[in-house]
Amino acid sequence: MRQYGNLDSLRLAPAQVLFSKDGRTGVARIILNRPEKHNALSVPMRARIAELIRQCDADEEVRALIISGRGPSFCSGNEINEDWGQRGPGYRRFSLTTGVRYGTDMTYGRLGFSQALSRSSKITIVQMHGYCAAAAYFMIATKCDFVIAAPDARIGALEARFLGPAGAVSHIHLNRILGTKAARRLGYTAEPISGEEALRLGLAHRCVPEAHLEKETGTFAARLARRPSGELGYLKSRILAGEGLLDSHLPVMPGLLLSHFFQTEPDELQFWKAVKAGGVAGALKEDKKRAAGARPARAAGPKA
Amino acid sequence: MITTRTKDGIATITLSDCRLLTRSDVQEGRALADALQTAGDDDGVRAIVLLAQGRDFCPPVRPVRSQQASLPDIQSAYAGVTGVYQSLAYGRKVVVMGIQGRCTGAGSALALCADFVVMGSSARIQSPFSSVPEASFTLAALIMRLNRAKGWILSDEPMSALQAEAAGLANRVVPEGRLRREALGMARSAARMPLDGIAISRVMLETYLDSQGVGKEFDHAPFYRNALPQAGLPVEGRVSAKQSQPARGRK
Amino acid sequence: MSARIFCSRDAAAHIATITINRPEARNAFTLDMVRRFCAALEDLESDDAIKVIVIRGEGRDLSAGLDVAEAASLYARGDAQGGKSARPSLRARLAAHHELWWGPQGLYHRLVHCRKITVVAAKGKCFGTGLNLCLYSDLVIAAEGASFSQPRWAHVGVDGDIAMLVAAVGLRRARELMFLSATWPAQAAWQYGLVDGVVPGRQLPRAVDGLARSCAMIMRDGIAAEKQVVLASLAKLQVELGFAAASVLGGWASNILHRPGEFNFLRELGDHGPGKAIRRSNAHFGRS
Repeated sequence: MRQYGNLDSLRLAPAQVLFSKDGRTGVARIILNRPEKHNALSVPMRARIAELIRQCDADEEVRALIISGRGPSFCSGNEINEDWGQRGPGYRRFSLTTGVRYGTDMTYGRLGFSQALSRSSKITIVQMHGYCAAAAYFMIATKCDFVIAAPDARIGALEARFLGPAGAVSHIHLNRILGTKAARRLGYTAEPISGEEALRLGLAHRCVPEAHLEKETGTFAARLARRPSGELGYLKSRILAGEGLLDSHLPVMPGLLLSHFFQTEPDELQFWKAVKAGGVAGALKEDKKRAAGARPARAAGPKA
Repeated sequence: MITTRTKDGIATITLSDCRLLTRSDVQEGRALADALQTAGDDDGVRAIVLLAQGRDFCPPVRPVRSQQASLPDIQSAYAGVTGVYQSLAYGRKVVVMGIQGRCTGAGSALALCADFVVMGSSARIQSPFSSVPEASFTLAALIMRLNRAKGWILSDEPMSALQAEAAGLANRVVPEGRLRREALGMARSAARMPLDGIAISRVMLETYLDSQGVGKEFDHAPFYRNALPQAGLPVEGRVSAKQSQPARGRK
Repeated sequence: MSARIFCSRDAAAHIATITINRPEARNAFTLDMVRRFCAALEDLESDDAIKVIVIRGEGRDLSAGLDVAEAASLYARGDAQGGKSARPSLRARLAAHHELWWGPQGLYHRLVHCRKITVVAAKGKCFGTGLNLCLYSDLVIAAEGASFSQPRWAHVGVDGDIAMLVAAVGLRRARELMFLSATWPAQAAWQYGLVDGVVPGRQLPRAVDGLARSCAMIMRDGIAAEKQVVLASLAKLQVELGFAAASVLGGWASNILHRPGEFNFLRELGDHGPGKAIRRSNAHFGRS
């Protein structure tokens, strides 16, 4: 069977995605451990996450699953400059066949960590601090049952600024979670929202200062895990059935696959050229040089 | 007992004990469904206020098992097309519900189906999904948005009136003493629309709700009723006589 | 007289602006203005220099809605018999709603299908069409003091799409506009999710421009592709069904029969003229 990734990324993945389980409390943890890259997910990391979720699903001891990240950020999304053999020798682009294979594996198949999350029969909780961008936003945060965020977390489709929104607006789940306007604002401005705003908009269930985030998330998960497992399973199946009736599933893949064929015009940032010259970090620096525009209006809360 | 009083085009339906509805009492369910249908058919009624007597709109109740009610009876009283929940969600008139004190079980399931909810400032509303198979997730998600609905259901934490207002579940929060007056005021406001206008607006709403799967979810209620005991959640009326664990109290 | 709908372009910033320019009538839309607005959108769609379209009103308001003086002539066109019968035919009524608003040539359909990012500067009255411009655009910044309402619904019932409204503000809030003739101040519209931000009136142009510039940072292919994919998600949110239902029910609702004591806006209009008819409507429905 095809394995995505290269020798390095395949070798490193087990240490980059850690797993622990507390049989006493019924809480399991998937911990992203690639702090130097803000926990950007390589393809083998995603495959491992999907596999761990499936393991938890089959484990009767596990009732709640927390996903969190080590270092300055929860997760910056998928690794964007990864070579796992997607381009045939001598070709500049994906072939459509490669794109579709990767896309379906990602949406329904062995790389489908997002699917695995939304189909899990366990309570899933994401613990967010620092950056929670791109895939971490629309493939993890929107698929877990609970989002617990630090107040100053930076959540959103930040990659849209230089890679296009690519599914961040059309994602139906997001529209159902945030409302149509906020979904558009995040996708079309590429501006992040804070954990506090995520709480106000209904994406986050709780907002907890970073110093207490890990402990409180653990306590919260353990409390939920004490609910009778039959009841939790029943409620989860009610929710999954209800989501089915709402017909709110639109794979983000059409958007993501399209994005591999975006071309930049001469008056736009040549992001990939900048990546070639200075790596992703250099390209991000290049992007920052562009006029940011006046900061979008931050609405005041209700008047004190 | 259900009483209806109609004055100036507003029908006020009052429940004497909402816990009967949580227990799927067939007679009580039919009485409420009838009251809603009757008011819906009456051209002299333009809006409905739904209230409950007592300190709590619907306090928690331990489900009891009774052998008397048959599933088809419960089905027709609660989940059927003329049952309680569908009569409310797809009713021909606007319904404003006033909630005081604790609201659980059937009270919360009604709150998802009513058009408007006013809550007393110390009221608290808890997810009905562990006890009421007709509770509508689709409505909960359309009202509160998806993640809030999930959180409410899975965490089982009751929402305060102010939290309910912020989540979009309650339209207004007022001191308990003003609950009835506020609900009546909203009903009067809705009653100013021409009767034909009300009719067409209800068609528009019904068309929309059906497109979101609300009706289909009511159709699934019998399956959920059957699944509840297997999940360790006793509820009245199910097809098979297969015994499950005895009723257990919640922590 | 300058044009009631006019368009300006800043090709260097990739931003175009459509202005509703009828401040003396609180930017109420005439049927002609609706058509001109559609033409402006169509014109901008094909301009590759433009990534973002800003929609604004001249004067105090975004728009007070469809000009009530036009309401009577709404059904005149599209009827081959041209007003021979005392009542417009049902086909003329259906056609009017479809062509003006919800069908492929209609204003809201075009707005939803627009391939540029649309940003609205909401201020003053955002009623009827004004509110719908906010709803069917991508982003909205409101000035303090802006207010949002669908006053027409109290007269004839809900005869417009509600799928997008519920998707934006939730079912229970949507019903306030539908059944209670509610008027939302900017702060409430922000809290419910209809607008993205609220700023003091004087800062509105700058805030909208800042937002538009943020959007214009994104590459053209990215914008156009996402706006195309969004159509699939709007179909699943049942917005297409909402538009179809609006055409049908809108035409049907115009056959409303008033009972004694009910407020008949068209009759009030005939008896008292637009200004007084609106004041009497506000008093009847308890709007401030």
